Amino acid sequence: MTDHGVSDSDMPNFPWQTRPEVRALDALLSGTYKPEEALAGLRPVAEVLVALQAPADRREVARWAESLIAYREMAGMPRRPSRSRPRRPRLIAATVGARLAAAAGVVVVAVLGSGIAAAYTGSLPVALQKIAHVTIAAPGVRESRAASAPKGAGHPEGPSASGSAAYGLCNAYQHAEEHGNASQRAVALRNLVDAAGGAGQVAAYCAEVQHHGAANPPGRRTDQTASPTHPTQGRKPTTSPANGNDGRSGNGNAHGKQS
Amino acid sequence: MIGEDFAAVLTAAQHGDEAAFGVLWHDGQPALLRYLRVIAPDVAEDIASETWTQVVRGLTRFRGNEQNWRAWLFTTARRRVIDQTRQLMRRPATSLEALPDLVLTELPGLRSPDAADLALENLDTRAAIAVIACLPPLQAEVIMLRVVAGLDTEMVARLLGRSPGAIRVAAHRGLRRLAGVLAEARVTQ
Repeated sequence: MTDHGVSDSDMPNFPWQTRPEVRALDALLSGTYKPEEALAGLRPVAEVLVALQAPADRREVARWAESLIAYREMAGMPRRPSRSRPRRPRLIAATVGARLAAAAGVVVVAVLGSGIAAAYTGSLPVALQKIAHVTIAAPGVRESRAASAPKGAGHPEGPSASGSAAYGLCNAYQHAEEHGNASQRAVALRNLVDAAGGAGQVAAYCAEVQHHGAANPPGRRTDQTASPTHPTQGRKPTTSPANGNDGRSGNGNAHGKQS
Repeated sequence: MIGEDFAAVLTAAQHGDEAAFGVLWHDGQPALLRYLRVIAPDVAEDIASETWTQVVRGLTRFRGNEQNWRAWLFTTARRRVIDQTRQLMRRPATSLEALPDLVLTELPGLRSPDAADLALENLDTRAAIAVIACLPPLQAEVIMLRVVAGLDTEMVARLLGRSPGAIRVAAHRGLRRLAGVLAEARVTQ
């Protein structure tokens, strides 16, 4: 019986139920059978199968931007940690490190505190006395302290997320959008999103940057703002990163060869 | 199908090359969407998008050739359809109309009888999908996976959890039935 309650014997008796026709069915399924070469009874079937494999129309690829955004969010993983999970261990490590440093400092102060008086009286052993002299009695003690415990210790130094560096990021993104390839656009976008603190913050971030740039005195212009070759100088990005770039990078030709 | 460039394209996409990902997407999306329009027409677009999101998440871990890639893509889509069907069936207030076609096609007589006529009159892709959707679900799905997804019998068998022999029989029966439906439509025109 067939699925709709009709027995196979009630089905029309088509000639391709013989062995050669079975081969023809296999050929249809594997796409090696052209409609014009098909047997008379199989020709309409072949035409339907060809129509099933027609090139994509515009509506079928309308959601490319959606997938591209998902890809941009996920594709960064091999090159950099994602925003949520891998940053947490780093934060924890930094916090633990800071606490350990603070605890060590307390111990050192406690131990040294009791010996300070002895140091001023010169009653410490020679080696310790020299250390105490350099550490607590030398005029340059403030500089020494500053050198041994800088304010920014443990924090990587990078461009400020505001002011001229931010202006540069916004400009670089704008330039990449207009003139760069897919890879350059992705890098520029990632840097900007990182600096802004999220894709949703980019517009506000760059708007604020524009404000700072206008307020900067002329003597403090940065390389980016001073560049005579920069075509987008003074403009904030007009393209939201969430818009993607429909179809522009979808043709993928030579890029596919990269490894 | 991408063909001999597939390995290079995949590698580039796994390293963040948007253009390479675009090649994979534009190659796979039309076939994926057409397949979903047969097995779950009401939610085809959404499930296709969800499928790509899920595929992107696992992209860097994927290893295999183009057949494996396509099998993974369609397997992911099929699982999404099954999950969604289960969710809808768990909801007590779900009406029949709200169920995806994967469920509706189990009920005879709910398919459009005019699909074959439509296909003959105007044989574009949508009409062809409509006429394939007239077939019993397994036959329709096997034909879509073989012809549109480009998977071989073994891959389809694994994807659907059936034997290769059962897949071959279902495909042949589907094509025969399709020939019958089209012949009938031609007669009544």
